This record gives sequence, structure tokens and C-alpha cells, in this order.
Amino acid sequence: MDVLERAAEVESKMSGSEDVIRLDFKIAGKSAVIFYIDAMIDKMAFEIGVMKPLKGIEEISMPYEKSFNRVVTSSMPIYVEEFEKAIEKLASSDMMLLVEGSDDSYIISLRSFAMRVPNEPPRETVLKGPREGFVEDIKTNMTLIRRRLKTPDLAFENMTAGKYTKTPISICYIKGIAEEKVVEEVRNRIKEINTDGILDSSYVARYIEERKYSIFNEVGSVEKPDVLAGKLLEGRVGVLVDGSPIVLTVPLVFLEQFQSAEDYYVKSFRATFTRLVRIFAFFLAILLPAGYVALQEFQYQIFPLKVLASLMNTIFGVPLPPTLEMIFVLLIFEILNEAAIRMPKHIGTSLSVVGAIVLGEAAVSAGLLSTPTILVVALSSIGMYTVPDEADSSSILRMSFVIVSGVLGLYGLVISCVALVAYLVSIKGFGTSYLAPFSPSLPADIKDTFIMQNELDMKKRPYTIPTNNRTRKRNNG
Amino acid sequence: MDKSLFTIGKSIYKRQLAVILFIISLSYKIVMLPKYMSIAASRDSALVMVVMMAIETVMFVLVYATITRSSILDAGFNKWFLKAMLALLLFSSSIKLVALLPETLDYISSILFEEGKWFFIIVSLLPVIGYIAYKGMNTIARLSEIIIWFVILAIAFTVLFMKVNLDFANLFPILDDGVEPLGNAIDKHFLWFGDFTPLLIVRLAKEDKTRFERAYPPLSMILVDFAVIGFFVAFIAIYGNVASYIDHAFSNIGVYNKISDMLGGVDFPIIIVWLMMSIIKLSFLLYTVTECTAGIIKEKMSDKGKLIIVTAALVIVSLILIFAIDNIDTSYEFATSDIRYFVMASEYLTPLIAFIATAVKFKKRKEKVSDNSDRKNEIAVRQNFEIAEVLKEPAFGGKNEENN
Repeated sequence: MDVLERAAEVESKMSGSEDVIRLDFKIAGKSAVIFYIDAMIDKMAFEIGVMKPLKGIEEISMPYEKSFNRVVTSSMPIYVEEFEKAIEKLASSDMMLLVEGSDDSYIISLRSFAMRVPNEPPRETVLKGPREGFVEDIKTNMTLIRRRLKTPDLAFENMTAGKYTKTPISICYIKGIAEEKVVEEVRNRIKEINTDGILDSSYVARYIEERKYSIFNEVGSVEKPDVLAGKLLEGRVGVLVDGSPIVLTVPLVFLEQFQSAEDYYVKSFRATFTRLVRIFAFFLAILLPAGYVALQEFQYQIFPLKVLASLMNTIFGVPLPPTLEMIFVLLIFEILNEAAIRMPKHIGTSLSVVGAIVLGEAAVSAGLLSTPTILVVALSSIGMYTVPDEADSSSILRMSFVIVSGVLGLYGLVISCVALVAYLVSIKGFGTSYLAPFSPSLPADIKDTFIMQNELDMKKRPYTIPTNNRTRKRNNG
Repeated sequence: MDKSLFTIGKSIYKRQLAVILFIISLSYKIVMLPKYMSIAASRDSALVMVVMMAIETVMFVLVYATITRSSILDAGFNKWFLKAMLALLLFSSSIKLVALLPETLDYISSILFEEGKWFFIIVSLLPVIGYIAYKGMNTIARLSEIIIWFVILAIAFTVLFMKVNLDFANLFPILDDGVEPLGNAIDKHFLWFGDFTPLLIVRLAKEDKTRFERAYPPLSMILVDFAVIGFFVAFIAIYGNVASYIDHAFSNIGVYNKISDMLGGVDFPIIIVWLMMSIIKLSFLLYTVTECTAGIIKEKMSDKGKLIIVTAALVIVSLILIFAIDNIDTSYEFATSDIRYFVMASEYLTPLIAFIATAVKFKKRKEKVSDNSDRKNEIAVRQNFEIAEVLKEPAFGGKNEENN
């Protein structure tokens, strides 16, 4: 087929989109057409390293790519691709070159687009330790990981998913540490993705998870390369998705979400203390509102006498029953929370002030709400965000518990908790039990759970995570 | 998909068994039983418990010895023999489930509510028990591993804040009315014992995680013995002659604490913890009912089939509790009726039969293996000679005289 006819077909295949730039020129007297997507390539490198040398070729012979690679200066050599695949490459920001006298399509990669610089991620801020976070570009993220794990055993397996998005995905693990069965399972699950588009790593997480409708995370999410490197060194497998600054990790244990990067950069006694605080805050977040409702509605005899007397004074005259009052305040909090997140930063701050102080104060003064209820919700909400990874599930759990406690009191709360624990202990993902190392108990792994032992004492990789190599520290190391 | 990466196995570790046996044995012996025993044997009820716990220990030894070899489900028994054993287990577990559930319902309705309606408690409690039972033994074991920490904490908390008036003189004189009340107490309350028999269907993990693993269940048994007997001694020492009026002994043991004004209801941790323990015990009984029914109907039942069995069992139990045994007194009458003899026979005979049958089975298997290896050796020797004959070479690499 003539080069111009093929060029027309490319235009047609690219839906005549106006951001697809077509340049017609001659290489050694032969007609050539180059396609690229506007603003997706390094124009300077294109002009100097590609166009100028190509136009300067005086003689050309088959295979053409050899002649091109002799003169063109780009980081990747020009290569031949089938026509259909070349179109896909073009759509993924590579350049496509067609030359008269050859039915081949040549691919030149000079991708370059505006990108966020690695910043400290908002969800994983630290006082001490690296501040670099992942960005939306998968290649940059791979570099960030490679910079921390300078070993030939670090492996990236590239794949794509999404019929229209063709999103690059990379499975990342350390050969010899990660369990091959886990890597294979992740690989298979990603291969099975058959959807229009993958726009973020959370889309991939839904396909990797075993229990699709669970309110708990079954796949970990990491925003910092140092954290990911630590997880890979424990035998976990990472999944990087282009367009997402969040890298997925499997297997995930529940308690992993109570750990912070900083725990490993501060003294172990401090880390132990903060972990205990986080765990306490989590329980406070999900149980305090329900417990308060249960005690106020049914088991008020549990309150110490003085507390009960003072409580009676504050709740006197409140028009709503305790359960409805609590649900109402929780809903107000969720509304404020949503508004504060979606609003521009400065408005969000003032909104929080208006919501928390003005609204709360006004409602209490008007006798519509009681002070203890607002205090309980405030404490619970603060506690909820000490474990941000579980904030979504905590929010749902505390509301559900409040409803159950409102109907069945402390008994309802107890049976809900037992049912919840029964559900959690029965979760197993990628060879790891969700509540490990507590259930099943693995005493050797307790040292990095609610307590944190000195890093020097962690000689073995956690037994919780399947691995091919258990030893982490050698005697001479 | 590699399913082993996502499904939890069927076997449990010995340390999990230790926790389970502690919970299932302790839970229903410390609530209404102390009162019932006190009515029947007065201050000698602690002595009754010594006798009964000794029998329980023997039963545990039989059951543990059996399941360390194999669960009766996997022992390779004759089909009808296995079904007969499962039927016995099904019978005793069903009766116990129906007899013990009212204790929990009464406990909830009288302690956590003021005369709470059983119907609402049944409707909310049974689905949770059903869910745990349906999830299987591994879930029960893992749940127990979590809950045992709360049990320990709650007991520690209660002991810390408890102010009791222990008067050991209340325990004496022993056997003042002879041994008749003792026998009477034992005879009437068989249903509260024999807790280890359903463990016969438990599959134990073959490999031990630590070298102490094997010792955990016997240690737990000793701990239960001490805990139960100690509790009865304390109960009688505290309440003396009025012990027969005290319902829900476990939550009333620290009734004399005097710091409630400052700390609130300090007995509530123990109340909550007992509720958790009872849920585990009831789930275990329902699990036994499900597994036995499934085993009788079909050799390998699907999860869907088991779900149907659990649901059906729950519906039947609910109907019984709503229409027939709708209060704690009726439940006691039922538990102490003649049906207890059948339950007793089933609970005490099944472990003995299972122990003997498994021992015989394993001896035969061992002999077979030994026979097989002897036969293999014999064949190997014979083959060696035959080959030697063919090659005109002496067996076992010696030199042929002819070649010399």
C-alpha cells in the first residue's frame, strides 16, 4: 500500500483527532510521514535528534531502521511494529513513521509530558524519614523504587489493561524473596482484567481482591518508595499502575494499616507507644458512639454514679432519643467531612471552623443536641483518621454499630463485634490470614505488630507473608 | 486460580484446640450450674465438680488420643460405622444446643435487659451463631484465639477490682448429708458435661509449629480443671447457704465490689466476655450438628448444602425455643429429664468407641505398611536373585565363582 494511503488510514484510525500531528517530508528522496500526539513528546529532542538527522539521510537501504538508528539520537532505538500495534503505540504517545517503499511502521519513542514532581504524599507524612512520594508516571515510580533497591533481583513485569486506556501496569517484586505462587496469582488476575478503562490503581485493586464486596481493604496501598521497598523486602508483591501515585501491595494483613513509615525511623519504644495509641484510637472510633448509645439507652448502670448524674443534667431537654441524636450528629459530621474535602483548601478550613465550633455550639445552646454526643463524635472522628487506610470502613462500622446498639444495647454491640471478628478471621488473601499474627497466632511475628521491637532483632522476615527466603539478617551482617 | 492462597484450611493447630477446649468446657459450668449444683448438693457441689472434672479429664484424654491420630471423619472407618457415630454425636450435640441456648437467652434477657423478650434475642443471636458455625472449625478456632485475650483481660480486671468475702468455713463439713446428694447432683446434671466429645470430628494439623505444641491441650485441660473447681470453691465460700439462690454465678462472683461509684459497673467486662464464650460454645455445637448431619447425608457435602443444614437447624432450634422451651425453668426440666441418660450414653460411649476403633484401625494400617515393606523387601531380594540367576552373577554384587 502506498505511504500516503497508509497515512490516511492512520488518520482515520485515530478518529481524525486534531491533536494527532502529521508531518510529511522526504528521507533520501522518498516520501515519509511521521505522526505524533501534540504535547506528548519532547519537541526539542524531536527537532534536533529525529527530524534533522532523518531529513539529512542521502541514501537509504532495507532494512530502513538500521539506517535510521545510525543517525537518529534518541534514548530508545527505532523499531518496527505491526501496523495495528503501531497505531496503539501512537495512541500511547510514541511517534509513528511511515516511509515510501516499506510496508513497515517505525516507532520512535520520545515521550515527554508535564508531570508532578515527587512530593510528600498527604496521607503518609512523616516528621522523620524520606519525604519523596510516588507520582502519576509509572516510569518515574519505577525509577524511585530502583533507586532504593539496587539489586538485579528486583523485577518489574510490564502489562497493560483497559480496552481503551491501555494502561501500563507493572508487577514489582524481589526474585528469591517473593513467593512465586503469589506473583503468578497477581499476574493471572491482572491478565483477566477485561474492562474499558483503568484510570487508577484502585480499579486494579478491585480485580486483585478476593472479596469484591468487603468493606475492608484486602490490598495494601503505598504512596512512598521507601515504604514499598520495605514491603518488597518482606516478600510482598507491588503493582504499579500508570496514572496513579498509589502502588498496590499484596498480601495485606489488617494490622499493617496501623503501621506508619515513621515507626521504622524512630526508636522502637516510641513506635510501640504510637502504635498502641493508633489501635486504641481505632477502637475508640468504631466503638465509642455505639457504646455511648448502648449505655445511655439500656445499660446506664455501667456509668459511675457521678458521671451518670452529670450526664443526666446535660441530656435533659434534648428532643431526640440518644440513638437518633447520635445518628444525626454522625451524619452532620460526614456532611462536613465531605464538604471540607471537596471545597478549595481555604474555604474548607473556614467551613470546618463553622461546622465544628459554630454549628456545634449553637446546637447545644439551643438545646437540640447534647454536649456529650458532640464530644463522642468528635473523639471518634479524630480517632478514625489516626488510621487513614481504614477510615472508610471505620465510618461505616461506627454507623452500623450505633444502629445495632440503639436497638439491642450492649448485647447488640457484643454480637456485632463477635460477628465482625469471625468475618475478619475467615479472610485469607494471597496465602496470608488477615488477622495474622494474632489469629492464627504466630508469636515470632508479634514483634512488629502492636509492639515494635528494635530493628536489630528482626532477623527473620515475617512468617505471616509467604516467602522463599526467611532470613533477613545474617550473623556477619 | 490457586485456591489454597485464598481459603483457610480445615485443620486446626493444637494451640487453637487448647483455647477452644478451655472456652467450651468453662463457659456453661460457671453460669447456672453452680446454682443447680448447690440446690442438689449444697456445699458439697465443689466436691461434685472434682468428681465430674476428673471424668471430664479422662474423656479429654480419650478424645485427644483419638484426634491426634485422626479425626473420626478421616479415619477411614466403615461407612455405616462412621454414620452411626455421627448420629450419636448429632443427637447429643442437638440436645445440648437446645438445652444450653436458653441459659444464654436468660443471661442476656435478665442481665443486659430488664426482662428482654427472648424472641428478639433469638432472632439476633442465632444468625451470628449460624454464620460462625457455617464458616467452620477454623473460624471457630481463630475466633477463640482472639477472644481468649479478652477473657484473660476481663478476668484480670475483675480480680483486680473484686472485693469478695471468702469464707472457706462455708465449705465444711464435707459430706454432712452422706454421698446421696453427691450422686443426685451428678445424676441430674450430665448435660453440662461431656464437652469434649464433639471434638472427635476436629481435624488437627499434623505438623507442630513449636515443640511445646503437643503440651498445650493437656495444659489447658489442667487449667480448666483448676478454673472450674476453683470457681465452685470460691462460689460456695462467698455465698455459703444462699448459693442456691444465685443465678448467673460468673457475673455475680464479684458482686461485693465497692468501687462501682468511681468506676461504674466493673462486672460488665466479665458479663460481656461470658457472652462471647457462650457464642463460641454454641457455634461449636451447631458446627458439630452441621458436620454430623452432612456426614450422615453425604460423604462430601458442598458449602451450599452445609448452609442449608445450618439454616434448617437454626429454624428448628428457634421454633423449639419460641414455642416449647421458652423459659429457663422449662429448659432445666428438659435438661434434667430422662433424655439426659441418652445424651450421657452417647457422650461417654462415643469417645471410647472412637478411641478403640481408631487404635485398631491404625494398628492394622501399621501392620499393613509393615507387611507391605516386608513384601517389598522380599520382592526386591527375590528379584535380585532372579537377576543374578539370569546374569549368572551372585546376588548382592558378589563375584561369580564361574567367572573366577
